[in-house]
Parts: sequence; structure tokens; C-alpha cells
Amino acid sequence: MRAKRLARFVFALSLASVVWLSALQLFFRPDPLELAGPGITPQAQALARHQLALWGDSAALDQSLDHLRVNNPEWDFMGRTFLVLALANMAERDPSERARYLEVIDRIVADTLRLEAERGHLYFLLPYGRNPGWVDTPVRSLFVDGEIALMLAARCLVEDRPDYHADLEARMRLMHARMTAHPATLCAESYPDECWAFCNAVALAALRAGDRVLGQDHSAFFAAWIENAKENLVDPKTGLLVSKFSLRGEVGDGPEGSSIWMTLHCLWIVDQDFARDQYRRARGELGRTLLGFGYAREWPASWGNHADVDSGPIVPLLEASAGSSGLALLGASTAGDRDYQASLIGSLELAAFPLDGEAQGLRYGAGNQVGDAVLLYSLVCGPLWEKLGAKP
Amino acid sequence: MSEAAPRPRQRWPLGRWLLGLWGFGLPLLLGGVLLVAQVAGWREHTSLLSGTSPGSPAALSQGLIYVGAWFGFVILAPIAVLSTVFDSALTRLFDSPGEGDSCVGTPPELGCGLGGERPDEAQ
Repeated sequence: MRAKRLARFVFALSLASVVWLSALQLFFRPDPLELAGPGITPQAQALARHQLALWGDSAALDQSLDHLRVNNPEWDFMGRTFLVLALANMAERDPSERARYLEVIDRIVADTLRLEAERGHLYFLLPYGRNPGWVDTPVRSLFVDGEIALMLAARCLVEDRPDYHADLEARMRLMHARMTAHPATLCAESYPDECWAFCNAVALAALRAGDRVLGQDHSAFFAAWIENAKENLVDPKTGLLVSKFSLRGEVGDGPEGSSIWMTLHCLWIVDQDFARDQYRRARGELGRTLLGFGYAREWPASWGNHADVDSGPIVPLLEASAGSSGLALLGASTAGDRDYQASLIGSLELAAFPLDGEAQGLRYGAGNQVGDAVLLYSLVCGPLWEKLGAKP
Repeated sequence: MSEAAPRPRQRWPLGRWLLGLWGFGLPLLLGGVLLVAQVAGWREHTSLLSGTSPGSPAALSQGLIYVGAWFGFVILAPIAVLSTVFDSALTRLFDSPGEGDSCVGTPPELGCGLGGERPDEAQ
């Protein structure tokens, strides 16, 4: 009798698990159709409200950025870039709010340039950026030049600021010169003899956007870069771009989730066919959906697995990475993969602890300012890239 | 059964206690912990999930408690309640009267299930 009762309980438990775990997504996952469209979703509006409030309150901003910098100074910088890109797209989506968004963009740009001037070009880098070993001198990081150039160009694409042109042109000239100086990779350093696909793709996007602003043309360089990347920077097992390599093309880290999603997003306006192929491969190698909830691995199965400052903690068994999953939202949004995007947002709602207040806007307790800015950008991106010729 | 026979002492077998704890006690406990953690504002301290330090060891602990209570309440508690309901329903459906583990004679409010000896088994 006892065995029969136990078997009955195990059956009831299994049935309950199947019923509940199958139904759970219904409470958290948005309708994919809600994510398409020309407007700004309520979720994006709430996220923007928080970010705008932060940049309007210097004490709160200092506290938030100080907290970020303690963890990783790169996050402070990248949070600015993603927010500027998000606001530029929102300005395109909602012209009635354009002036307000541009005013915040200008404040972010001015503050970033001030910090670079006062604290030095390497201020936003991790401490090892101050180590010796830089190949190109004087020391410049493509991470910094690329993202600042992209911020300047994005602002000018929405509404031109001729006083930004000189800085934009100087950074474009420098980036192009440094990238072409290394024929093995056509890439420049972000850290001492350390190139990142992420940073080089951002630099290419900045050149592409800058071309439109300044009337230049780097299309021959873009074609050469893509050809070289296909030959020298693609992992033969997965077909994905590797994330970290030396100027001579010696691979440090293979394809990495926290890098590839933004990389392909930037390449979307450089070579859309190549970027689309990278998305398809990244979705297969890194993107996962379980019970309707989406997440992304940091590393392909063929590359082993380890957590680092970019990936954040990796969930055992699932191999889910917060960094890769957050940026996968941007990849899915870029590729118009609404189903995967909805499943990733479902995971955010379940496991990232939204903190929502009407006045304060929305942020996620499990994340940080840069995570919120990435999410906001992934929800509104599109119009700026379409201006640069990307097809939806 | 004569009128003079003493009323049998109702037993609550271990299995039924465990089932009650699993199906009702655990969800209540998880709900209580989550409520306290929510009111205390510990949801703010869950940034450890993204590798961002919440600021202090105390905040880290509070964040961990909140995360545990949240996932316990959202995933484990409903499964516990549902499995108890299903177990009781299966017992009522499939146990025929007269079987040793049937619920015949059990007051409905006590339910049946794992370890569901009826109270009058003691006679």
C-alpha cells in the first residue's frame, strides 16, 4: 500500500510540475507582436523614464556611476553609449520628444568628453589598460574612440551639430589609420596588444555613421575588413567571429556571447548578409529557449566554459550568462527575431526583478545601469540603422 | 457498531503530515519569507545575479534570501499546492471503498493522499 501511495504521489508531483512549468511563461512572456511597430512600448518608456531621471539628478547619477565603476569602469562608459543610441532612436520614433532626448544626449556626450580630457583617455578602461605593451603609440583605445565617435555620429544623424564634426572626423581618421596599419587583422587595440571584435565592429559602425554625417566613404575598407574577418577572425568550428585576438591575429578568446551579439548588431550596417549569417550561427550556438523562457550561453559548447567580468555569473547546467542573455536581446531585435526576443524578455520579467515605480520609471534589480540601457536600446533600436541603409 | 463503543482516536499518519507540510506549509512559509523580504526592500539587492556587487555583505545576503524566496514561491510553491491537489483527487478517483488505504469514512476536510490511512483504520 505504501508503495502504491508513493507512486501516486510521484505521479501527482510530475503532473503538477509539467502543468505549472508549462504555464509559467504565460505570466511573464510578452506577445511577440507587441515588440514590433514604429512606436515606443510602455516597457521602453518606463526604462527611459528612469534613465532620464538619473541623468537629471547629479547626486543619484554619481552614486549609480560610482557603483558601476567599482565593479567595472567599462560599464560606466558602455552605459553612456547604449543610452545615447537608445535616445537617438527614440528621437526618431517620437519627434515630439526629440528636443528632450537630444538635450540628454548632449549632456552625456559633454560629460564623457570632459572625463576623457580631465582623467585621461584610459579612464574608462579596466586597470590592466594602464599596463605596458601597447603596440601603437601614442596610446589610444579603440574601445574609447569607437564608442565616442558612434555617440557623436548618432547625435548628428538625428539632428546635426556641426561643432561635433571636428572631434568625430579626428577620431574617424585615427581609427581608420590604426586599423589599416595591421593588415593581418585590419583591427586596432582596445587594450595592450588586445583587439576585440566588439570594439572593432563598433568602430566600423561609427565610420559608417560618420560617413553619412561628414560625406565620406569608407566602403572599400568595410569590404576589405569583412573579407579579412571571414578569412582570419572566424572560428572554424562555429563560423562565429572570435572575440579577442592580438594585432597579428593570434586568437585569445573564441566566440563569446557578451561580444558577438553587439558585434553583429554593428556589422548590420556594414555588411548585412554577413551579420545575418552571424546571427543565425549565434542563435544556434548560444541562444536557448527552455519552457518558453529565453537565455544565451556565453560560450559555444565547443569552447568550454568559464565566467568572466563580461559574462557575469554563469548558471550551472543551463550555462546561461547574464551578459550574453542581455545582449542577445539586442541581437534578436536587430535580426527581427521577435519570438526569441519575447522569450528573453520573459526571462527578464521572471528572473531580473523589475523595480517599477510610476515616477521613478523602470529598472531591473538583478542588473545595473548598463544592463537597463542595453535593454532600452534593444527595445527601440531600428530607425537609426534604417537611416544608414539597414533593411528591417 | 454499538452505541456504547468508544469513538476511535483519529490518527494523522506521518505521510499525511508530510503532505500537509509540503502542500500547504511550504507555500505559506515561502510566501511569508517573500513578503517580509519584499517589504524590507531586499529586491533591490539582487544584482549579484549579473555579477554586480550589491554593495555590502549584508545586502548580498538579503539579495540571496530574496532570490531564494522568489524562485521558491514562483516555481516550487505552486507545484507543491498542485501536486497535493492532484494527489488527493487521484486518491478519491481510484481508491475503491473497502481498500486499506481508501478514504472511506474520512471526513472530507481531512482529505486523503500520501499516507492516507482513514481515521477509522484504528478500530
